[in-house]
Amino acid sequence: MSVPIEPSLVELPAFRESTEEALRQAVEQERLALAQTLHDGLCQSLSGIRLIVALAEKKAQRHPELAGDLIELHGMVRTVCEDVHTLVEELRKPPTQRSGSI
Amino acid sequence: MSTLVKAEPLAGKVARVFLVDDHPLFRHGLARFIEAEPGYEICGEASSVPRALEALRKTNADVAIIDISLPGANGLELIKHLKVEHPDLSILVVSAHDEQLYALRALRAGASGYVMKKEAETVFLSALQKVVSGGVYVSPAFGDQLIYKVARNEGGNSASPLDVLSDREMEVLQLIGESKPTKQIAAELNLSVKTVESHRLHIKEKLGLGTSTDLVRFALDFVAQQTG
Repeated sequence: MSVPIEPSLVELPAFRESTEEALRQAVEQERLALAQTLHDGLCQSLSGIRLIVALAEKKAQRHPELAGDLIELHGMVRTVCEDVHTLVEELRKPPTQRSGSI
Repeated sequence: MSTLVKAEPLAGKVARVFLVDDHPLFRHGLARFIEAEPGYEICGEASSVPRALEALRKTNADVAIIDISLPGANGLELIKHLKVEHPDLSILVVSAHDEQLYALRALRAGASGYVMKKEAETVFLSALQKVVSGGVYVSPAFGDQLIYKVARNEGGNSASPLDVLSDREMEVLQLIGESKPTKQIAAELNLSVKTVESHRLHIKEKLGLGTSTDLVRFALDFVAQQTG
């Protein structure tokens, strides 16, 4: 959005308002872009890692010395996946519906 | 597990599975996970629609697992193409998109199942087993909704106002909601800018949105409400 560089004193409130609105819109677009990047990249990669860990956990059933660690790791990956999904949802919410955590 | 069609198990046959997903880590994880299961083998993988179409002509696959979001053209278009070229191929959609928005569209395009990527690993196997056996898989919650709507003579149509949009218009709406400009949308969907503008116009008309600003606001809310 183009705005006058040197507004007169009369125009100052409107100038400030339009600048703040442009800034708000830019922040919203950045939030959505970040959510999309997380959704398309990190979430998918974590889902792939989760599948491999689930497979390792299944194989380790015959190796008790490994099974406990892999069950724990599987649980941790699941939690990270859920955390990232929650973060994406929060980033995508309109300002009026946000919890205030981010 | 939700069953809409009675499934007959395969008699001792190894099912050949083809994967179509543009996320290498997810594709790799899914391939390893499925291959470890008795009764399945991975017969090929592709990361885009053209590569999938080409490879599937040379591969005698029993089932294709397809993501909805693919570069170039989307998974729904791929499903429609595949059902024409390979009518006997079973198709399971594994997608990051919410089933409420895309499951019915995927089934209408010719898929036999829809699973969200965030589901537990065991759900993937249940869905695959069901689809390979000739059945239909959707989540229990979504299956219940469909049955309820059919019982109320709504013919499986959801109450969503977005049902009036074509699959292509849904894609355009999704990309508008991801804050992508028309030029970029055209490039991603292999369409001309003029065609995308025409889709924008139709979306506005169908959804009763007065201005382009209303359309962008609607699209942003649409993407924000997705939970996949």
